Amino acid sequence: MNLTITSNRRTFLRNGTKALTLPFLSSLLPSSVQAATEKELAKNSVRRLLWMSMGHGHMEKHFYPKEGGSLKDLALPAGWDPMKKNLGHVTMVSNFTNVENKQPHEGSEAVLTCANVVGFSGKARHNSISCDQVAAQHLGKGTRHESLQLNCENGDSGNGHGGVAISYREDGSPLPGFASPLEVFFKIFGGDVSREEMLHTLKQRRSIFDILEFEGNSTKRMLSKDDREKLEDYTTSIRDIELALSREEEWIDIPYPKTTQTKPPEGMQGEPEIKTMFKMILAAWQTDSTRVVTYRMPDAGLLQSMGMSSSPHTLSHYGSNVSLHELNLKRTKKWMQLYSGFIDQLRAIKDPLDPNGGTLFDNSLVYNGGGLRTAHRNTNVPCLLTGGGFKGLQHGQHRMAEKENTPLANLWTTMLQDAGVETDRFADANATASSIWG
Amino acid sequence: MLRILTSFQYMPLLFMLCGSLFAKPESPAAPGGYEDQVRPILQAKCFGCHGEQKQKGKIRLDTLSSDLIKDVRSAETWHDVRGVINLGEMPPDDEEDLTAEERKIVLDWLNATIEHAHKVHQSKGGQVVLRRLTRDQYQNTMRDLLGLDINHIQDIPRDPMSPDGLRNNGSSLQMTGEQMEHYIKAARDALDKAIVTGPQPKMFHHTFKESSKVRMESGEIAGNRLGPKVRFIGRIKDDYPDEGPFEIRVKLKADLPEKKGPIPRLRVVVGYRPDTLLQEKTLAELDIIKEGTHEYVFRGRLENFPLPVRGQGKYPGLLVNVMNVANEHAEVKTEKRKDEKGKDRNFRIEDPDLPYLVVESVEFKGPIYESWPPKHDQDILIDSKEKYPDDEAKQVAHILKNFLPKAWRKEVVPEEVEKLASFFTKIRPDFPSFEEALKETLVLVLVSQDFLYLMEPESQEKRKLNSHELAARLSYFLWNTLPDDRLRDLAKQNKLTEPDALRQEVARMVKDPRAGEFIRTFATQWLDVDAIDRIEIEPNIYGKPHPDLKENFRSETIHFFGEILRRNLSAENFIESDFQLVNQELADHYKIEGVYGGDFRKVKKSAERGGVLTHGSVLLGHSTGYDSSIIKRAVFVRKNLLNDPPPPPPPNVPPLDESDPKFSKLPIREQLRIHRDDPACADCHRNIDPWGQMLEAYGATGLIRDEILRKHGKKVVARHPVDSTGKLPDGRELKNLDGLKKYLLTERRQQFAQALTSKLLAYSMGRSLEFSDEPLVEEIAKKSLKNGLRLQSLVESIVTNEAFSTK
Repeated sequence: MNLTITSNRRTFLRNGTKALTLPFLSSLLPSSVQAATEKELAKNSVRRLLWMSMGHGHMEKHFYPKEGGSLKDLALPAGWDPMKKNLGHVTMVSNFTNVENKQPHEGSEAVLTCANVVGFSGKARHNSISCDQVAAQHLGKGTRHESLQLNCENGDSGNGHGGVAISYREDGSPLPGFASPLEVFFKIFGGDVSREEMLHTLKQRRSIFDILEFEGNSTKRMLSKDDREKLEDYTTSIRDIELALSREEEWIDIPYPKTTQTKPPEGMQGEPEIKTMFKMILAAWQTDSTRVVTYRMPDAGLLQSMGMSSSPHTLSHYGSNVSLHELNLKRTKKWMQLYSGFIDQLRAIKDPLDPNGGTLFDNSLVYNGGGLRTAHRNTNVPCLLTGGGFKGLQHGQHRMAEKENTPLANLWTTMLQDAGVETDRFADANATASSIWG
Repeated sequence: MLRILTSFQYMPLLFMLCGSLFAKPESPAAPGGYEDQVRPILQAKCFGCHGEQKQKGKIRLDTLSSDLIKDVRSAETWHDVRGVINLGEMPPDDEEDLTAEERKIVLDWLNATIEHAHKVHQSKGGQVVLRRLTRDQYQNTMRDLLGLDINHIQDIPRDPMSPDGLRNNGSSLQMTGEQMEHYIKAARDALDKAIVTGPQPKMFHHTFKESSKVRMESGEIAGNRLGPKVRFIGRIKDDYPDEGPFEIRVKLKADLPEKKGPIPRLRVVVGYRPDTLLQEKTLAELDIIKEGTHEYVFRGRLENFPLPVRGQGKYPGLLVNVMNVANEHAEVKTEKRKDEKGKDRNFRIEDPDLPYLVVESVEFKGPIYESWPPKHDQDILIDSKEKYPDDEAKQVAHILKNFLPKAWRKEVVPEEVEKLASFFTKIRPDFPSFEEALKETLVLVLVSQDFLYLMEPESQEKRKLNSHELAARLSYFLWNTLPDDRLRDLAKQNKLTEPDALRQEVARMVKDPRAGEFIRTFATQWLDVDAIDRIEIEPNIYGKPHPDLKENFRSETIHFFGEILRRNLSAENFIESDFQLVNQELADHYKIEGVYGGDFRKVKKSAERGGVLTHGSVLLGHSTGYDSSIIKRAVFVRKNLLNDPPPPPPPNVPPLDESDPKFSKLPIREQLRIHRDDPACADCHRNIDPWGQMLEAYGATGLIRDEILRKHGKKVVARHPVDSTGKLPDGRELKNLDGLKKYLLTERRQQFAQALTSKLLAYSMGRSLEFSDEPLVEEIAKKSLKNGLRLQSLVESIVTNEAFSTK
């Protein structure tokens, strides 16, 4: 069943679609439509993608198994303790390196783009499209949001992330997204406003951009190349809001999903913040508000909420300082505990779009890791996979790529392909990663 | 060879040829020596596997261009080559290694060439790149333009730091769709407050003679006589406003101890909201020096304080707290007495050596408006209604004519006013009132490029700034906000272009309180004061630190910079001074006696202090929190004071320790020596470490130490004597920090002057300096050295040089 809406004013949505297919919570649809939708869906099962980065990595002795094999049989380091019950549902892969990452402090800036951010391009920093945005272009057409970016408060450097985002647009400009669960909540469930009010606000908001875009373009002619590039940021940002408004307009007749969840409070930090963000991810998938999510997790905030006064950067210079080793282990365990809890929920929640009654877990491809291994090593980065969307992957193993420093882009290529994105190679990939489990 | 990297000594001759500033900038020749020195080494040791016959790892070096400027791909490859040689990964173990001498030649060439290529590739032709207002600048500009001292930047993301450590560099300042949404929201929120509708809100007035009784979990009690752990609390349960300006009047007298010295310090705190990070917020702090009873008046805006949501939470109401923070950390003395029931209990007793404050009354009034509509509303709407009654379009045009030039910091042409006025007319039917549509029109003004960016259009070629652009550059340099009326008048009359007028303005602006913004921002970024936020003090070595220690360290350095600037003292004081700035808490920390009160003041320096290298901010910020850090401190001296940063550490450097427990017990100096013995580390570290060794006598918290303690937990595992001697790369042997300071002030005086000049110049224009700027830096520094490197005069030279007034 295709529900079609003709886009009324702006037809320049990047993908150029005039007609949108709108699969969403089947319970919201009339029953006759529901049956048809489900038939439609049975042919094409939905895939959901999530990439998460945690900033600094783990200490060797706390986290990294030395050999490949079944996770249950390996002598796993202490950091894995909280993951015990979910060992059968995760896969660790090793020997992947973000080859172009030249920065020992900034693991997340290029982790999903595989670009050399500090190269010789002539710009202070330059990035390229991240794999989640490639996915969004293909999987984002029928959802309210093409993709969602979850972020954390950007304190000063030293959190191991670097940059301001992990998702980047085609032109390399960052998509920082939302730093608080409350903002994400509003994106998924909307505010309590009527259709009329929404239309009115949209109209009001729209008028400003018409004039701003026009202004921007007329000044540009008089500027130097570098100034023009800078102003391009500005006009792009306006165009982005316009695009978002157009999308909102196109979706205006589709009510936001209802929820029994309460609004998350403001000012959340660290562990509760991460748990709530996880809930938001699950809600976004459950309501099919989007299928592509990235999450730049709050390393500094997590430490603070655990009552540690050290900064992530201090922890990364653990050296031989025994007390710092202990803090590192605590943090590793906390990350694993949080992740294990997230896996529990993925496995518990039914995917409303799965014709066979499967769970969100069954249909998702989740990466959890980051661009730094430990201290300031950026080779052989941590990679934990979960979800049933990886083709031919039996979870519960530690699998090592044959060659050291296999491009991380291989893994991204596999995730994109398995999610149904037609792509040959992403960035500097030289093969797919599935060969190590295929 | 390494020195070519950043020192200017080699450059001047080349630049004499460049002619005037407006000539097309040329970059100096890349470092030479490839053909005759580097290539033969690579030929012998590398081409075997990476040459004509074999290309292991698909790397071929013999045909790789040594011109990194023309050939960017080769630059990337050379960059990787440096990495693997630095780490000792190449040549591999089964091949003949490079000798120490060969490594040095190859790495020196690579370092210099790569650095040079980077600079050339990123050249902007000596032009300032369009700058977005920084987060601070946006806050100040909104505050000053709208007359609203509230937080405008709550949701605005922080600015990234440019490679030269500054946050106002146009190239680094980004804009995204989400950020843009935040600007729109901030503008709407601010204008909703600035332009008022309806009658004047009711004013609430409360007077407290006795402290409200409130139980506090912190062990504090409520009362009028403010000793240790006592605060006066005025609690307004319901009858208070939620927003707007308020006033607090505190009537109190100081009760000083007999022993002369300690003085009380009044702190007024407003709000209490336990469910947020910021539970309460300080309105003001003041040393109370006057004897007898006096009234002190403070003002603020309620929006800036954490108030509970009405009808929610366990602690409703608006709380006004009055405290005496001189006693904040003093011990509460008690004695056992029998209470009325005859039970033994601890009763508080007075400590006669402490200063007390006795509160007589606390008054709250708010919202206070001297007129209605208030001034900030009047300043926008001016006389539009009287002048053009019944003609909204004309009213708006009139308002815009007045508002736009201020907001956009330029002369506005009639078409611009017309365009906005017609926008108003177009949207008017969508809005319920004139004011609402006007607000929307002004939102447009506040999110347009002319507001959010320091626009200097017509920039295809270098050109002189017009006087309004110059006024803006000047005020954002020295005040971090928009030009005031006087600057705008001078610009209108075209008087700013005269060097004398500029100098006068600098003198005036530096005296103005707004210069505090420059002092704080620049001092923090130049001297990397925020480094202290990344370090935690190890309590097992230093004990539990005073909760305000870091804040005091920060203030010390900022006040020190302010003192030197505002009194036009020599910048040499940054290296060595005969004074320092402290408050009582910091004086206690540094073990200086006889300093009372919370305000910072100038005192004669104590023996081991003087100059920023003895500031807690530098010593703690460049430590591990556990021990000193020779490397971080060395890098500080080279990078921040001498503008000669060592090349960045290659990725994947093995950490110092490995897992040898014996190694960890060694003093850091010894660890570094072992590190230097490793050829992979030697090349960089021989030029770094010596610069930090002279600071070894200072522990992480900035205090002199007699020995270096190594502890595992609370257990001492080793003690080492302090060794502050060092031999610099040029062979100079120094005994201690005094030696280093003297050396810097004699042998490196010119280099320090150029380093400071570079940083100021880069900051003043908001761009990175390029090769073509180096003669100018040298010229300004030389001139400034002739008159004793006086800081304010140096700022004048920066402002009056041609580059500052050039787009």
